[in-house]
Amino acid sequence: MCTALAFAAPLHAQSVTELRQRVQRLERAYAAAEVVAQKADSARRALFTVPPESATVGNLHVFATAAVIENARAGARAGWPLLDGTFGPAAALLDDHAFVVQAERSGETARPVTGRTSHRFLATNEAADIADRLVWQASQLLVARLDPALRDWMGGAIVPSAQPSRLLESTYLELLTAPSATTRRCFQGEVAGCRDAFDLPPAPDPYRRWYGPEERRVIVQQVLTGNDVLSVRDLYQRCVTRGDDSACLRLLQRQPASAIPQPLGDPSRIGLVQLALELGGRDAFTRLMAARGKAVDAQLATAAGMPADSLLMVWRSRVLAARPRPVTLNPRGAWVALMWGLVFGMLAFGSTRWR
Amino acid sequence: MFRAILYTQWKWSRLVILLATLAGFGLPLLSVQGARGPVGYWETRQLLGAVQGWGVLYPVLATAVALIVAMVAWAPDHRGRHVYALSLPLPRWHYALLRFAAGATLLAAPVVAVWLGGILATSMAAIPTGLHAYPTMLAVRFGLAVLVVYAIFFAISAGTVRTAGYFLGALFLVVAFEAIANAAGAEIHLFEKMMLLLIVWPGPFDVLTGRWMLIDV
Repeated sequence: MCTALAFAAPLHAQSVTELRQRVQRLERAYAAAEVVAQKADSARRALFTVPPESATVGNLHVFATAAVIENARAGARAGWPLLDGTFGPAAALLDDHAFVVQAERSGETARPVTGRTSHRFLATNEAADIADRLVWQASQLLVARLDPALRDWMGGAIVPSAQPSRLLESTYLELLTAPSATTRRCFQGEVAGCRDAFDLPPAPDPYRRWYGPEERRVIVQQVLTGNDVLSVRDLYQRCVTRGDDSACLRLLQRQPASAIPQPLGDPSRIGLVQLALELGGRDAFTRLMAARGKAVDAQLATAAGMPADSLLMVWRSRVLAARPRPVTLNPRGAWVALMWGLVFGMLAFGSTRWR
Repeated sequence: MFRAILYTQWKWSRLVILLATLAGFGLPLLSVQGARGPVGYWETRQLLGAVQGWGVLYPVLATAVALIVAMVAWAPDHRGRHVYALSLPLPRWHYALLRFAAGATLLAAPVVAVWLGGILATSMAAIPTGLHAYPTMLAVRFGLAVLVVYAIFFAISAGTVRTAGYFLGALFLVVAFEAIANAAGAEIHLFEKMMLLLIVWPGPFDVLTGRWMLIDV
């Protein structure tokens, strides 16, 4: 071993030049491999890309492979009335668009459509799912034409639903349980309370409008948790433990606007816009698009064709009418439970244990 | 005859009945402990959350007390190889009916306790505007849950070990069949479907599921 060590050539570390050459060789090999992979991908795509079949309902043009087209047609039939009912004549704007359904777990892809702006979306090969996604896609396109300030205020798109009552029920709960005096005032019928709860017209620091000192303390406890508290321990203690409102305000100022809960959340705001469209009739959405640049509440009033306060009062009465059923016991459940009690009781009486 | 059977069953299960009665009375009081003083409207959500959290214990209590009372109702008969029952001048169904009725009568105590506890708790609590108390509905639901679970386990206890064996064997067969089918690549969910049949309306355990709210909208 000593002899081998004595005659062994000294080892060299690689020089910077050698390292650069090796990196360049690797880069060339990677580029060559990428070209081959792209060719293979496009060959595979060409193999499974098929000419699309189309289905048109109203101004909704849907494209899909032959295996999916029947469900796509049924989905378009279900989705178009919702779009037409909510957006009215403005839904005709969809005429320039092609909605291409890509069925999940399908090896085939419909070829892109020419002459229209294509929007490809994934869906299961079921009419109901295709309808839902179609309505969602189309709504995004139409809502994108609204005033950006209104879109910011809504926080999401107006998506027509076949079951609007569910939204009203959850809004009822928000109105009743949000930790804000504004929703309480709105619940009791004060229109200014509804305006404040909706932040209409939008104000720079809406939490000052929404929450009083006591409520701000609760909101701080909700918003700041875990490590966030450690970084502002003194302020947090002053706010939560000692009830110092200036500390609570400073903490809330540091939070991003999206972190502070709205008394009436985005779905409720979107619900208010949907109500304005419903009350405003078929041209309501067209008027809403034309009202760009006005204050948000003025835009809603234009769409609804009535003053914003009247709209808010109609909204309030709808929400109160949609009070969810309390979770107790419905008569149907009671009878069934009683029936099961008797059935199992009878089983025991009929047992032949002794015989 | 009924009084004698009621008395013996009371002796066998009095500890469980007393504990369940205390728990039934205490649960509603505990669930609204956050609402003893004036509740600010900003605390409504917390109050509902607390009531819902404690509400989980109602079906647990109903199941536990009904199960134990049903088992205890037949345990001495099984131990004594039904000699006492056979010595009575009664047909089998009449004896089983007496046992069932005695157990159900004893179980009325925790149900009434839930009702009284609910009334007391809601009268002491400051319920925010817009919310309502449902002590009677809650007690009725608790009573039905107790009845269903009691009837099921009473029927199981009244049967023979062989019957229980058949039942467990059938259950094992379903699970084994599903495991083999899934291993073979077929997507079969028999057990899941069976469970859903039991807990979703009109299944027998539907009464136990969902939220149990003493105070709600």
